[in-house]
Amino acid sequence: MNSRRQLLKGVATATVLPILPAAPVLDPEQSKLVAALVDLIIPRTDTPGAVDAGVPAYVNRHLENNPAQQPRFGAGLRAVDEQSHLQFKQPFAGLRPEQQTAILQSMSDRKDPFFKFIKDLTIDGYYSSREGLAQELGWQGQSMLPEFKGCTHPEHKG
Amino acid sequence: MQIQKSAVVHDVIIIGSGAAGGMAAWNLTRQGVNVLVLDAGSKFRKSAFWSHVKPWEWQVRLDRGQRPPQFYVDPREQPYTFTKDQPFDLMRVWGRGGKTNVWGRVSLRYGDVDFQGPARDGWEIPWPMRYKDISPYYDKVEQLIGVCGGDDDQDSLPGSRYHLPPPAPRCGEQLLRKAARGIGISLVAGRRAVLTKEHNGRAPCHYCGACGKGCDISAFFNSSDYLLEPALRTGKLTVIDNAVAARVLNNPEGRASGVQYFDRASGAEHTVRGRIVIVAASCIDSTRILLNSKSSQHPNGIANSNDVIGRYLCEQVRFHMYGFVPELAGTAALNDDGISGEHIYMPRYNHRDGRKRDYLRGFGMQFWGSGAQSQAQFAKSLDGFGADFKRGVKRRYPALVALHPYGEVLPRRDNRVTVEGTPKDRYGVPIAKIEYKTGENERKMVEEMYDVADAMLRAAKAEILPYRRGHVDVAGSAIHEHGTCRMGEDPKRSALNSFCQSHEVKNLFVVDGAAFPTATEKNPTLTILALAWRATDHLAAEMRAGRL
Ligand SMILES: Cc1cc2nc3c(=O)[nH]c(=O)nc-3n(C[C@H](O)[C@H](O)[C@H](O)COP(=O)(O)OP(=O)(O)OC[C@H]3O[C@@H](n4cnc5c(N)ncnc54)[C@H](O)[C@@H]3O)c2cc1C
Ligand code: SF4
Repeated sequence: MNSRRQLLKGVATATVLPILPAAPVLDPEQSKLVAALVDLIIPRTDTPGAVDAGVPAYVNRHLENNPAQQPRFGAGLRAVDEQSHLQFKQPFAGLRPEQQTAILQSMSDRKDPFFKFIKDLTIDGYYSSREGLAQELGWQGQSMLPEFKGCTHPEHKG
Repeated sequence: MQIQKSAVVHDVIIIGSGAAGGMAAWNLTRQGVNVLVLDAGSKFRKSAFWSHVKPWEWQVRLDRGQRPPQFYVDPREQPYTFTKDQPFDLMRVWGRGGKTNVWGRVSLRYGDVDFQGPARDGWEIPWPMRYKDISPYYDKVEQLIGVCGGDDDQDSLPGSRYHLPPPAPRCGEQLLRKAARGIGISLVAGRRAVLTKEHNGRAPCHYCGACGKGCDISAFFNSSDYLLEPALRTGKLTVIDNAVAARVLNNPEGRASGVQYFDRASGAEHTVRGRIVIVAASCIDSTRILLNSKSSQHPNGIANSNDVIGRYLCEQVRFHMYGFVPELAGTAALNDDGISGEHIYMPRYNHRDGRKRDYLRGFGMQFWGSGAQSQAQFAKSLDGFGADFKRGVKRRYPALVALHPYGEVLPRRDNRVTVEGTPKDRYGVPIAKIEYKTGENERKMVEEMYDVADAMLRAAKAEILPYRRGHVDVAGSAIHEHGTCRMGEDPKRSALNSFCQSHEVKNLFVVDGAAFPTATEKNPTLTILALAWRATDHLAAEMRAGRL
């Protein structure tokens, strides 16, 4: 989990982004695959999911800003499709949900580094979006308040 | 390039305008002394702060070509180096107010446990002062800047009569407090330099939680607004912005006579002259300047014939442990921002329980990041994916408690800053090399720190987020560097007297954290402010008496 220092670093790197969004890093096929993956990681339930929250664009942007990670990311996507062909003779994006879940589950179980990478990006993107942070988690921070009540539960005091 | 030399002789030149330099400038100008401040950056404009920009608005703004203020120095602009196997993270803010623009505001008094610790355990030199020497200055600093806190008072964390009301604890903090009490550990109200009510005409905090991005209403202390601005109003202060000091100059008798600096933008070299020089560029930058100030009178760097400057670098060991308290799991998230950062603190207690320990010194604990945050980084440490995972994140989100123990690192002669044979910066000035290792003492202390953090979470019946026992943050992460120009009674073993005045070069003062002989487990800024106030009272008196 991030230390304060790492969070600060995050802010620092966010500040050197290029001014205009560059051409998408991911081609249409890769984009489809990314959308399928992030939506399996954080699906739509009674609240929006990762795709609703724009996580695919977030992932694309992250790769734009960190070109050194692109080759490994591309290789990770290819490996997912290879696994899918091996197991189900189809590209991942075309599989049935339970087949997709099975592949992801095995990646999760064997602590696959690419799975960890895209999951972490999904967490970053989703829980910093309005949908993920405010709607799903109920964050109400960064408001200007006349007073801070803090804990008002006598039972917490003990 | 031609060197631009100013013929004016200033009473006092101060390098840096953070906590240390800002205090020196404020206290001297109000006593009628003419001061020139050289600052490596410029003022951070409040109107340009992104304090109230929501997380999802950042990208939109960046796409529009807007940028938040660049507080931190990019090491590509101003590099430093370290030994390969011992990385050191150096966080620098260059500009008026320095790191106080974004600091964590934890403001803790040191006690005699700290000042006299070395005398008791025999490790390195003690502070040349006692609590009673500094406590009047703590009183004054707290009244000036506004520090909220409780009414507790203990040997390792002396109390104060001047605290502003402490903010109410959050639910998670309250539960931790209860749990800690159950295992005999007392958590007290945090002490933070945040205005929980109007203070000296300044508006109080509005609990937006944005402090780390800079406070657009100055409801927490920063040197620029609280010290430099009033000093400027006296008409006695001149500030030269973007003046990167390289060396303290000296006259043939070896006394400080001025400062050489480079314009940050143009690179043009300048010199300014002064009767007194105060170095306050923050520990590592100050040390670099002193060591680079070589002359025939001071071949080892100014005021360093005893080879003390640069040595004894000490900081703190720190790690993070997280848990989820059951009472809050699955509840609706509250607005937990408060004054941002923790509202509680665990003072050091390990010297009290009579138990024999196999290490020296001690540790305290902070709790920033407890409760509902503007992110959910903890989710990265949870297994799985899918709807269950998503529910699990939501359930835990309001229940997060964060523990950050800080332990003292002993001062060691070979933990040091040097400039010998290092690469040069863009102005041709040798950069600092940092050599820094922790040892057995810290390893053993960290063991106990893990035990205590773990026990506290267990007592709270918390689900503990998986952690790697023994792991500590990379050196420098605590951002509390000390020791490299330490004060002491013995001029052979220290560089400064208790008034931050060089033993060797009487008109040279070093008033930042470099002057601390030990790091303690506490955050230093309140003490930096108190010491700089005390030092400049002494300096002003010496000037009035005609001795300086
Ligand atoms: C994120 C964060 C959280 C923190 N939390 C806490 C906390 O909770 N409690 C606490 O006590 N402390 C905290 N600190 C540390 C605190 O900010 C410092 O202890 C304090 O600011 C030190 O004051 P200083 O004057 O020594 O240095 P700084 O505040 O860093 O000021 C240094 C000054 O020197 C100038 N300077 C540097 N080099 C040169 C040069 N070559 N020439 C001219 N000028 C130069 C800079 O421009 C600046 O004005 C935190 C720091 C950070 C970054
Ligand atoms: S929480 Fe208070 S001190 Fe912090 S930025 Fe907001 S108003 Fe300023």
